[in-house]
Amino acid sequence: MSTKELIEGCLHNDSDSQRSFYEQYSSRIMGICMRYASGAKDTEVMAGYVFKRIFEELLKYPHDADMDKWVDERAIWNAVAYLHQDKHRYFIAKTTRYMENKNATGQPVDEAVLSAEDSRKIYLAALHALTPSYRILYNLTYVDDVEPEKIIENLEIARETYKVELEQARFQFKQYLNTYLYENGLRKQ
Amino acid sequence: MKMDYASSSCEGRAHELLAPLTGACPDSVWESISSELEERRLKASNNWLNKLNNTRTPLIVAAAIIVVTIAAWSLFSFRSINKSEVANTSTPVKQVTTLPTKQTVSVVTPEAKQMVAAENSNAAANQNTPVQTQADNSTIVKNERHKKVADSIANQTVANNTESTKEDNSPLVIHTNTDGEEPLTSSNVAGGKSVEIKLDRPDESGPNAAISQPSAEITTVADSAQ
Repeated sequence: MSTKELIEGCLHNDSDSQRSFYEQYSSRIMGICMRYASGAKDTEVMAGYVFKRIFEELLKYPHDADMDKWVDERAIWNAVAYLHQDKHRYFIAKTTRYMENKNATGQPVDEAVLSAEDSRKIYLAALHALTPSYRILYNLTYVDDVEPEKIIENLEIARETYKVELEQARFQFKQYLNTYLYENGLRKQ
Repeated sequence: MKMDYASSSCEGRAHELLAPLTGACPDSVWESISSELEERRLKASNNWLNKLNNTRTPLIVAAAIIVVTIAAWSLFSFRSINKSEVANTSTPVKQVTTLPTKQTVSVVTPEAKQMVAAENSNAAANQNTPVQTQADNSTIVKNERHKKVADSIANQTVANNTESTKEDNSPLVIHTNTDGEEPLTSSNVAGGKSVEIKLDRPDESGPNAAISQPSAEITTVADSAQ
């Protein structure tokens, strides 16, 4: 089934086409949701929300665009929209608990000892530890390589706010990464 | 190599590890999605736009449209026929109602006089001269009544004048002899009586005072012929 036939079937509420679309893009969307969500349970709920929104937005799909890139972009921004929906969690205090994590940085670990999968888990754990607003900025800027102008426009924030919060997110991510690497190094030793 | 990530740049490594991240979707995700899609499918099936995809509904809609257009066409055509009939019947009535008013207005000043004058001339051709004078006086009175409705006094005076001319004209048929010595007598042919007028008594009150003699006496005598 071609991409055009797949989209046409989804627009006509064909269950087979929807199922095949889900199977084709579920792993990509699940990977994106794993980065933006704060845990495994939140990832599943977010993935369901993102899929529903993408099925609705298939009407707006530009037929000359690359389907994989379009699905990735829509999944990213729908994940951001999902986090913005939960205002209670989104506006968590952004204070970095540097002093609390200071003790964990006493014994750095050698990353070369770790496998790629272990490193990915450590990076993902550090990303989940960020507050939702910092996680969004860090993911959009450093992982998904979205242009800063587009981030500022879509998030409707000031440029200075974007710079300040991105620096705080970066600093906090490093602190959490050091902590998890220290804990992982302790387990390795 | 021991690294302190608090003082190093790890964004490149984060992009390298996390960007290609993929994961297996559990079945619970598809179950939630499929239930949502099924509800949406049911809503869409109930939508009237999807009913058009059936074979019967377009026929029913087309038949309904045709019936409505025919009914509207017949209704409007009936109304237009009624309007034209009303217009044909109403326009002469308006002319009839308006024309007399125009005629009365136009007849008032010049034409009424001409028509009355024409009638009088015809009547004068058929009637005698006293009647003609009477008719002339009446027309004058009528015209004065038309022009001056409120002036009734003038009409009365004119009418009195005509009456006086009648009274004056009738007794002034005076028979006199050729000699002029015999007393003046007025003969009533129908009654067979003659009136002798003696001019010994002065008569200054009547309008014929200038005509009558101051010593005239009027006596009734039997007609000599009878």
